[in-house]
Amino acid sequence: MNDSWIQQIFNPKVSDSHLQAKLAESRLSLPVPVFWLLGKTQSGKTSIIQALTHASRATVGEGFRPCTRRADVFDFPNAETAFVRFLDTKGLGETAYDPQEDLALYQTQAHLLMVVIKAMDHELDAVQSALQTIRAAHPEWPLLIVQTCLHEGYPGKSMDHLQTYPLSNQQLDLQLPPDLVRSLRRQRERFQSYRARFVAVDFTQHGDGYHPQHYGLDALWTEIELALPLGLKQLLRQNQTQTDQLNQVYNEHAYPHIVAYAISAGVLALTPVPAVSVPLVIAAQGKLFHSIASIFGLALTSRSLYEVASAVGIAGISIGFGVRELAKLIPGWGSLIAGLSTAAITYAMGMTLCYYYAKTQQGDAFTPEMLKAVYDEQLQCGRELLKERFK
Amino acid sequence: MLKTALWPWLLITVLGALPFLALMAIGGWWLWQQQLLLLWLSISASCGGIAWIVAKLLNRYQKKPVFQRRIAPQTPFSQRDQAAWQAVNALAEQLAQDKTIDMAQIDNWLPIGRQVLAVVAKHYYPKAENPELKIPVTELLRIIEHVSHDMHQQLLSNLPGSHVITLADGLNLQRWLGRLNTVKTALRLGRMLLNPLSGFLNEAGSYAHDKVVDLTLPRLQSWLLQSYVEKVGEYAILLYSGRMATATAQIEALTSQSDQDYQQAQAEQQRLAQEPLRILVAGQTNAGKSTLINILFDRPMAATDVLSCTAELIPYQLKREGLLSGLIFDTPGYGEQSGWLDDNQALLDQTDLLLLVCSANQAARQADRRFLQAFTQHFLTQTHRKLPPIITVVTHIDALRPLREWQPPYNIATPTSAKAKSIQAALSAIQTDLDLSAGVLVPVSLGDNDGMGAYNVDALIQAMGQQMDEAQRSRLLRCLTGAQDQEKWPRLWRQLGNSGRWLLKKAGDALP
Repeated sequence: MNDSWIQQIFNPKVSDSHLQAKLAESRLSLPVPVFWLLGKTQSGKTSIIQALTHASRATVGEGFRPCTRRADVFDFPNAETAFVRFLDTKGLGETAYDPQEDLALYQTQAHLLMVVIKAMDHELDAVQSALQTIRAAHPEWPLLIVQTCLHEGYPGKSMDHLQTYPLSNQQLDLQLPPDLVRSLRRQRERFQSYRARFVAVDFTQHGDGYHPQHYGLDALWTEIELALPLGLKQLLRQNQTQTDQLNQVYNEHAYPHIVAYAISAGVLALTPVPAVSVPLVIAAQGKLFHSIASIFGLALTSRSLYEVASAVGIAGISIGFGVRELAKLIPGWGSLIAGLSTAAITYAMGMTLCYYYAKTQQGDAFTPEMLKAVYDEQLQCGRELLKERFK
Repeated sequence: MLKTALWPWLLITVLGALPFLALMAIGGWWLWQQQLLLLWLSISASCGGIAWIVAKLLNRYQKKPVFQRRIAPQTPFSQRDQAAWQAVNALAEQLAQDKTIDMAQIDNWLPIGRQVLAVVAKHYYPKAENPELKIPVTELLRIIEHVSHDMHQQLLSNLPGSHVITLADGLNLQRWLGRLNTVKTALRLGRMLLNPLSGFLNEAGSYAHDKVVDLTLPRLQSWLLQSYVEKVGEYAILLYSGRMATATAQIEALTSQSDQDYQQAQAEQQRLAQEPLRILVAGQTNAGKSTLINILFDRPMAATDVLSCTAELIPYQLKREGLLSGLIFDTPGYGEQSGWLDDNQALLDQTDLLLLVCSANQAARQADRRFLQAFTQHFLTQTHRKLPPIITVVTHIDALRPLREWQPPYNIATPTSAKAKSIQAALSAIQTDLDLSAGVLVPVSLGDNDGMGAYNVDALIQAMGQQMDEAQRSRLLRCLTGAQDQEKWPRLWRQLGNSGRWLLKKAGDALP
């Protein structure tokens, strides 16, 4: 069974296009959350995506692709395996915008509408009228008003951010400069009637000289989790325990892929008919292992895969499949359990492979026991991370 | 002898100078220790000596005044005039030889002027007994007026700093120099007694120095005298040869019809002069319109706040000497109350100058473009109207990246720093976004900037002046606070050019 699994990783039984079609199909049952960012040019939308995903500015900039005439879409980590999607409305305040087209397209998906405004900007007619239309069509979508660029309201260039974030719990601290507080208040009054929640942040770039660079990120996450309880924060936040052992390459690129493919594999495993999904899941796992190998600049060899698989234990993979597929026979919960455990196993396998490559690259010695320990830890971790998603 | 009241001041001065005097003493001591004192003294003496010799030589070979070429008469002279001009020149030469004339004494100017007048008059009326008296008093006054004006120009353009040095300053300086001389004499005597050799060398040095100064001062004086004589001569020739038409004669010569037209033209001109200049300040909310107005007036006039607080059109008066000369209109941001444009077509119609205020860190510029289109359209539809000049004031340049840096001046024409590059990029973006094919962009910072104050507002005022018609320009400049001093403008313009502050202007209408 173990050998045949490795065989299938290198020679998947399903074609790429078939896998894509199946993924797209399965997404319908577990839609990708979409953050709709509504704000004027340079109001800080890109910075928000950057802060939430830890992607670099260039990645975000290049990752956007045109979606509708007026909206760009950014899939994270990429279009194939995206587990979070950002929608950016172009040129608001530059030319007249009618959100109807975008509304029609994003009708059915899970949404968080984020209105992004600069803290000192009061020329908000364009934003407000677009919001009005969207709100009329979807009053149920949670609405979060993000007030950005706090430093523009600071009285001088020498002022730093207050040490403790002063804007938690929807309250404005009076230690802030009075003009800034009044400006924030005025904006909040303006959007009060939309039953919005508010958060004020200042996401600057590296080298701008403000510390922390992502001021108010925790508060923003708190608001997002309140509005959209999908455990996204955990998924997007790096696994701190592993960061020390693995290098920057892992931080930047591998982690989002592991999460993305783990979810994809899990989603594929949701198919209620036993055994049908197995080749699809293996194909998705294969794509993940290949992409991890290429991130580390190495080729995926059957030897490395064999080392990892045998250290982890054949049972972990092969017998697991059988049990999970059988679980699908239980009505109702069966598929979900299969989905979550497939996702968690894929996650743990990906993390272990990462660890294996990092150690190989650094020339450090490691034993099968160490690999096993990493796998067990990550399996637990993956279950925790992904359980919100497969609920 | 020094008055007792001056002693405390002298003491204070000496106290202030003590550290530097001490430096000299220490230096001297060091030189003496190093056995270099004699060498130093010889070098300083020879330097002074060389300077003196060179100055002397220059004085001998370079007869022309150092300051200015001779005055060339503006009107072409006939042969008869030319003869009179030669007589004037001869007189100028003769006066220049006379070392006793002190041009610092204002009393000396009048007799010299009369002398010149007499020479010229004699030339034109050789038979008359008192030819210079054949001229009406008003004409004499006119000569004085013209000569004074020309001398003023000459001094301004030739003597650096003359517009700030008052007569009192000059006199005081001279008096002080005189006093210092007394003190210096005592010092010199003491030095001679204490150290004869170094005292002698020092004496030689200061003698040479005094000589250089003596050579320069008479030069200035003779230039002044010569200019004066020539100017009086020139106007006198114009007057006696009958070429300086008198104003009264002109009016008497007019026909009744012309007189009527003349009166009408004058009335019209007066009416135009009474019509105030109208400046419209427009922009998005929080772009800084009211702040700009306050800075132009140099005192708080319009209420400014982080929240929009200009709810309606508010005119502010530009006043000087109690006369109304201009109106500046503050407007609500376009977004807040978009209707004001339609409700106030009349105001739009009478705009003489539009100040379009754009924030550099506000990238959404649809509102600006819409306003600009409406504004341009309004004038384009009326063929008899000319589009008023538009100046785009780009505010908040201090908020551009790098965010926490603000160290003006910035050279935006050829940017070297990251900030200057950001400012240039913002200006170019605004120019493209607003499709500004004509007009001027001026980057300014109107904030307090941690106490550094506003930046580049003088360039804006200058740009406003440049955009106005001649007549309107002087009125505008006269009205704006800080612009009273007319002489300031040409200098300021040069300074702006030199310090690299910048107005972006489309090619075609080059800046002077």
